[in-house]
Amino acid sequence: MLETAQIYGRHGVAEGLAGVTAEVIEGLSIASVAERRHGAAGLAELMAINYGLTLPRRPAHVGAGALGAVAVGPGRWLVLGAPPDLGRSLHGVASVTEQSDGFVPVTLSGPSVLKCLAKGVPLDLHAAAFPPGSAATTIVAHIGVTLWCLDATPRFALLIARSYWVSFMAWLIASGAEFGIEVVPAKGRG
Amino acid sequence: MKLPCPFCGLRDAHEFSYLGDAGPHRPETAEGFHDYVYLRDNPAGLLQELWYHGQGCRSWLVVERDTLDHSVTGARLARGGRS
Ligand SMILES: [Zn+2]
Repeated sequence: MLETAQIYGRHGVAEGLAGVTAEVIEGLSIASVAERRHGAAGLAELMAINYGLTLPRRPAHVGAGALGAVAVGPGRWLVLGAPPDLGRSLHGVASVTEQSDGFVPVTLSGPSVLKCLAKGVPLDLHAAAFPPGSAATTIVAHIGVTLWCLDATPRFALLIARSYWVSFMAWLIASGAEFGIEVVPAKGRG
Repeated sequence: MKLPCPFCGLRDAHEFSYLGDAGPHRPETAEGFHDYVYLRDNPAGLLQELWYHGQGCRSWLVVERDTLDHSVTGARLARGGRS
């Protein structure tokens, strides 16, 4: 069993630049938003007017400043960098649930990130099939993961249920070891 | 086998769990429950069946599958009601 303290630092190949860099994000506020019956139009309008965010109706991530949203199912989103008044401002059109403690956000980058993710993600993450903004909720090493492509570097963001994140990191570190993997803490952003 | 989730796209079958024939209507009363639970058809050919995308978008789907060769010819969200 991997201890939390053992997660951070450099793992595997120690020479040269790390092939994979994982940033474990602390303090990002996350809320789940589920549209109410007949609330779709009202929700879309309120999100656009109040937050400048167009909620995607397909598996995708959108960002507006410090705020982001990723669609995780029909009529369901996770809002990242969620403002404290989100529930109040969406009253009647959506059910909003605080999830900040529910997920650990991790961003992955580096020249070997695609090769590393290919060991567990059962999806084609090549830019041709999964360009920036694409998102998916799937399973990696028997652990549920919501992920999206942040930019064409490529850089990916992942959300892992907090109670599984140590197991997920064990998979990630084992999979990234041959490339050299660096795991660092980072401050939250939307 | 892969299933074409209307929300997520084409996904491996191991992300889903299978419930069975989407055809039978759950009876309103105890009357007819025996038939609903036990008397199921086992067709050789096209079948509309319920699958749950628990490791994806968490939607119930109605998938059309040929039980003879496992070819999948369609999928829709079950929440849309019966068609
Ligand atoms: Zn799905």
